[in-house]
Amino acid sequence: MLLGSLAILSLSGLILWRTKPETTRQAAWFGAVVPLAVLGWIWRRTVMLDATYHEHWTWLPSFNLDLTFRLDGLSLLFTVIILGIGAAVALYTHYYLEGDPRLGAFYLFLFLFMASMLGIVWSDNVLAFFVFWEGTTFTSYLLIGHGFSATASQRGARNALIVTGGGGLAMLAGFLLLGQATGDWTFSAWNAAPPAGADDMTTAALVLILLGAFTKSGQFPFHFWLPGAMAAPTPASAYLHSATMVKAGIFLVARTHPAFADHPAWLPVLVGFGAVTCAVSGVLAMTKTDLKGMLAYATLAQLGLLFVALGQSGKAALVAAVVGILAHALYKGPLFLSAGMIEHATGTRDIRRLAGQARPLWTVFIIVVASALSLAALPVWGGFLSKEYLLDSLLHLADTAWVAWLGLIGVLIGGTAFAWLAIAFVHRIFLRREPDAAVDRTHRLHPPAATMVAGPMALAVIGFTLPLTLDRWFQPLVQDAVSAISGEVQSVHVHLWGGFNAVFLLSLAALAAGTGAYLLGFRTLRVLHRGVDWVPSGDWLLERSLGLAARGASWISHGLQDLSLTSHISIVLGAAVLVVVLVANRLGSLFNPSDLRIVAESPVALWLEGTILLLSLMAALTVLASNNRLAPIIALSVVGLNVTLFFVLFAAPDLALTQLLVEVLVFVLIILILYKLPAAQPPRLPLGHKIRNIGIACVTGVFGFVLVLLASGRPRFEPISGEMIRATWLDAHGAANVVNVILTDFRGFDTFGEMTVIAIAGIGVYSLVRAYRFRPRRRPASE
Amino acid sequence: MTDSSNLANLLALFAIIPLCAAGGSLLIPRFQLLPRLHTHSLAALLAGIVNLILALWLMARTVQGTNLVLHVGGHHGPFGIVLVADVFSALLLLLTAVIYLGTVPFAIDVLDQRDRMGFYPLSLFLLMGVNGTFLAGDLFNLYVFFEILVITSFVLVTLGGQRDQIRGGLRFVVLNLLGSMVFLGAVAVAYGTLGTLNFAHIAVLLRQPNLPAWLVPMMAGLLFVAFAGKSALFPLHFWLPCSYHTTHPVVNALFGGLLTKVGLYSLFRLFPLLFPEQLAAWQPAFLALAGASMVVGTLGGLSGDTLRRALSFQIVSHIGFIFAGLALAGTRNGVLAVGLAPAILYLAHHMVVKTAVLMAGGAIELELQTGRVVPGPDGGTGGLLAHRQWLAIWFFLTALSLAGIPPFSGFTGKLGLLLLMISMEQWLLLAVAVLSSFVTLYMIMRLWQGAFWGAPPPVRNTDGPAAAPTRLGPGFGMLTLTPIAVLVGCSLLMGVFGESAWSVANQAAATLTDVEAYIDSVALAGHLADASH
Repeated sequence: MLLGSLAILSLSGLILWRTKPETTRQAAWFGAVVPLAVLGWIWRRTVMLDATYHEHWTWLPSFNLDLTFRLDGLSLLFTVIILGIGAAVALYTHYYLEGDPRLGAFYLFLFLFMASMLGIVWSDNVLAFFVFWEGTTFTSYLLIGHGFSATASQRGARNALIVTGGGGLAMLAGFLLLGQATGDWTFSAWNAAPPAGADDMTTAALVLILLGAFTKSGQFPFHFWLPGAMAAPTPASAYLHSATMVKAGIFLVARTHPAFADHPAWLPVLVGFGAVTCAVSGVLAMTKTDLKGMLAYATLAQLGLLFVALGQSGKAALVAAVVGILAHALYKGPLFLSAGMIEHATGTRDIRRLAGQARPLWTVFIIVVASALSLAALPVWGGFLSKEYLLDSLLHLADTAWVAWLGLIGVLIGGTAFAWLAIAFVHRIFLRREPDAAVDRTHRLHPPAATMVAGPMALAVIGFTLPLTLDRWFQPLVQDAVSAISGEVQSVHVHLWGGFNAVFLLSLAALAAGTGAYLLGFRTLRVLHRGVDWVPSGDWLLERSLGLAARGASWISHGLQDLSLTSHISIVLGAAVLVVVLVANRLGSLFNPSDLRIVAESPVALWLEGTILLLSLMAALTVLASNNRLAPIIALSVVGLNVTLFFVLFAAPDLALTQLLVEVLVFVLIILILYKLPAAQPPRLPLGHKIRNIGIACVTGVFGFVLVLLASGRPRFEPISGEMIRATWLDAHGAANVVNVILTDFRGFDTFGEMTVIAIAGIGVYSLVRAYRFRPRRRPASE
Repeated sequence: MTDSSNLANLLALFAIIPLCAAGGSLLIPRFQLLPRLHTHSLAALLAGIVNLILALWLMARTVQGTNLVLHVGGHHGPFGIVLVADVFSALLLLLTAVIYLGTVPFAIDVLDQRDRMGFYPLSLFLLMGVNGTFLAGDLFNLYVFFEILVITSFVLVTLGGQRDQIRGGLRFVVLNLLGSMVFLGAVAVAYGTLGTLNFAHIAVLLRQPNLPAWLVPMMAGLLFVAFAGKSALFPLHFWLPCSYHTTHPVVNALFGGLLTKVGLYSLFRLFPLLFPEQLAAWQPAFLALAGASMVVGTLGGLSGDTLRRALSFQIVSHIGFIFAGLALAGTRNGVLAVGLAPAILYLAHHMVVKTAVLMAGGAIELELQTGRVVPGPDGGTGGLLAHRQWLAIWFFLTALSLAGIPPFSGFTGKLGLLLLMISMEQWLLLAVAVLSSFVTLYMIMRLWQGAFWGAPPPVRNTDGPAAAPTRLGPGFGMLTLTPIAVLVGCSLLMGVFGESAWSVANQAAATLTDVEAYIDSVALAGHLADASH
């Protein structure tokens, strides 16, 4: 069923893509109905079950990768969020991107994303989890790059891909380490038998896995990609970068909670980074003027809060996390979509240019107010409940762990920022009379269509009524999710009101601080802004490091690649010489006389050989000494002819003849070429180059000498040539020349190959000559 | 099990068919048959199809565990030359056939009159050389096919006669001939001491007692230098980045898929067969070279200033990945098939995807008339997404596969290698591999983004006086896109049906490590066979 759901969603995406949804209204409804239908199907099939729902598809067992799905409370919570908000967003998108010719592609990526995200929350197998994780990374990349000609889209998409893609690879490495160490490849197995203690392997795996979670959920210092991703069309921002994808990191932490919660690093790392993210992003959110930018930083702060909650193990903290996830999806989604509607209607997203929209955009106003109650953490809405439980848990923890104080500070700063944001949204966009900055009068205000409002309105209403329904309808969902995170069955009842206690006072303080900051106005914020400008943003850091990496890469690769041909030749020769040097200590037996084949020769032959050798040496020296082009060629030919003489001496007339022919031909050819070339003297080499070349030549000479010595040593076994001579005599009916028989018969296939080589060389010469004769046309600059 | 019956004679067709097609097109004057088809391209197309059918047949036969052996000219090895086909050979022959047949339509689509000169016969010679390498059972015969490859590819590099092509081609041919020289040295040492050239016979003789202590390391070392040079393994890779990108896109795609693989094939074939203990003894050095190749190839890809240069340089890093598998497979207790299998899987993935991505990259360069798509200070964005939607889709999918993203073949191959590194506890190599995957992901996405995103190119002024010739060839169409799509499909199938691909890779690895079966199948003549037992 689960795999079928994924297939249905992907297929719907393909259908929407190919049927040009921008031309038909039905597409919007189709896009909204499919996720709801899938949700209904899953709900009917699973909520009846008391136990968790399992589904197993064998895929790549050799790689420990199977599609093992497991639908427990936590997964179900996320499934509801993904499909529910997905339906609202799909409906909304059609109106937001009306007339965009790439609407079909947007729908395709949106539905593929939906399927991948569901795959994440359903996968029990860790490698399948990674597969779907990458699916969300790439669909998110494509959605951010929807407006592909804008620089902001390109940069935002690239940064998101680098950060989340890199984190995904780190997470994979962590999974592989832990999987190989434990032999188990499912979360449920890891949770059932937590990896023992804090040994190096587990710690390394934990760090890598958390790297994946932190990058995906934009935790400090990886937070910068998320605001950049706001270049995506608003529906994508609302859906991926607020409600679902950025919570994948949260989900990963929740999923592995039972396995790692006892690890000594778990609590301080999660609470510490979460608190810092919450504080930093909260402050940054207050300094932004773009609606989506403000919401993006607020999302980061909320994600920080969730990490603070999940770093702890108490029931209260986990309830805070679950309620927080639910409440955040229900208020942040509508807020994002409202920002989109405001932009759609007024033509701007800059809060300084907005005012008095309560009457013209009254539907949006209702949505924003309903959501802002939860954002500001007013009792008794979702945001408040989550924070209440979290503060309670942190206060208890503060007795034993110092990091809880950090968590408290982070939560309070975040709470202040949330309150500020809620007031700013309601007051500045809708209630105040005059904007801060000039308004673009050319844009004709047009209120959003009812169908566009329907999705966000539904979400906002559910969020608004959450206090009433939480313990009635959502209680089983929350309870199962908390049980799934903690790894044991918990009984949960969310209390709407905890009484007047320290926790409530803290909540109140944050609310008051936010209101105060808002009343003080922008002057304080400008100071903040200046302070924030001081901190180098991750964006800038990434840009610099990418530039450095590119320059370093260019230096390394070009530095090596642009060396002279001589250097490259000496590297290849050096490698071969190195082999001889490496085995040199074993060469002892080589100089064992019994290994050398010493042929007894007559004194005449010895004299002859000595003379030839002397001639060759003189010719070789002439090559070195000469300064023009002709002399070394003649001298080299002399060396070649001397070799011919050796063949004659050793009674190999065929070889001598061949060698003679080749020498003469090559000599004539080179002389012909030289005759055509301009008669310039070759440049004089500097002394250093000369010494280097002499060195290379000498080393190569020694190398060749050793090779020849080795090759002409005493054979260990009877060579196959004996059989060849025998066969030539017997089978070839007395043919006298074994060389010919070898060339044409025994190894005729080789000869055939070598002849092909000659033919190809001929074609090459011909085509080069033709290419020069017909001057080429301009070619594309391929470097 | 061995089959040296009449059917084994068909092995010779892998060399003869390309040769006949090439020779035929050289002899028969070229004339146009259809608007896009003339005698030369038709010959290449037909030869490619027949070659693919043959390769499929061979795969079907060998996958059942039968080795096919052809004793050329009826002379039994080691006195004559043998051609041997097992699963590993058949797999590579099949991939070669697919890649070759994929590039022919691309060539028909984009080659213009001048570049067309000689491409088809030369590509057929290249096919012949690659096929022969994968079948050779004899050291000198292998050398001969290497020669065919070197000379053909040199001519192919310089096909346009451009200055940079000649410059790159010179370096290409000099460095490759040096490698051949070293190879020849190894052949001489082998024949001088062992008196034979046949792989199986050498394997038998190397097990005899009282061999000089230098012999095995010397032969292994020289052959390693020769083959590593052919594979473009660091630090013997310099010939590759200086020449590949200067070639015509069609040639580049063909090279990227086929050329370096002959070196890797030879390493995979000969080291487990002849020098298994050297693999273990030199493992640290080999792993260092593999890691260095990953780093240099990745950085080279990152610094590549044009699309095809980046994609070509990046081959070196894949070579590092594949070679790492071979190096890790060597243990004190012999070569492990389980180590070779992921490397073979990755090799297959690499051949298919590299060809596809180079074809797509070539199509982009032809369309934009420049390869400079990396966003730089001088701008340089492509904006092709609006015009070339399908090319964008296929290039994106190949990029995913190249970066090792599931469910493509790049993922399973890389996953297997990473698991291997972990089980061998090679932490440093693991870190290098993961980091280089990360940089590859960034690099390839930057290229994709540069080519397809950004402001769309202005509509070309075709009738104004300043209108330069707008295209190199007649543009590209379905003939280019279809092969890319087919290759992407292959990669996807290899990933989705990874279990089947894995079992074939495993089988290939098993045949490589099963030395006895290889020696038996070659069936050395008469008394020599006894020495093997």
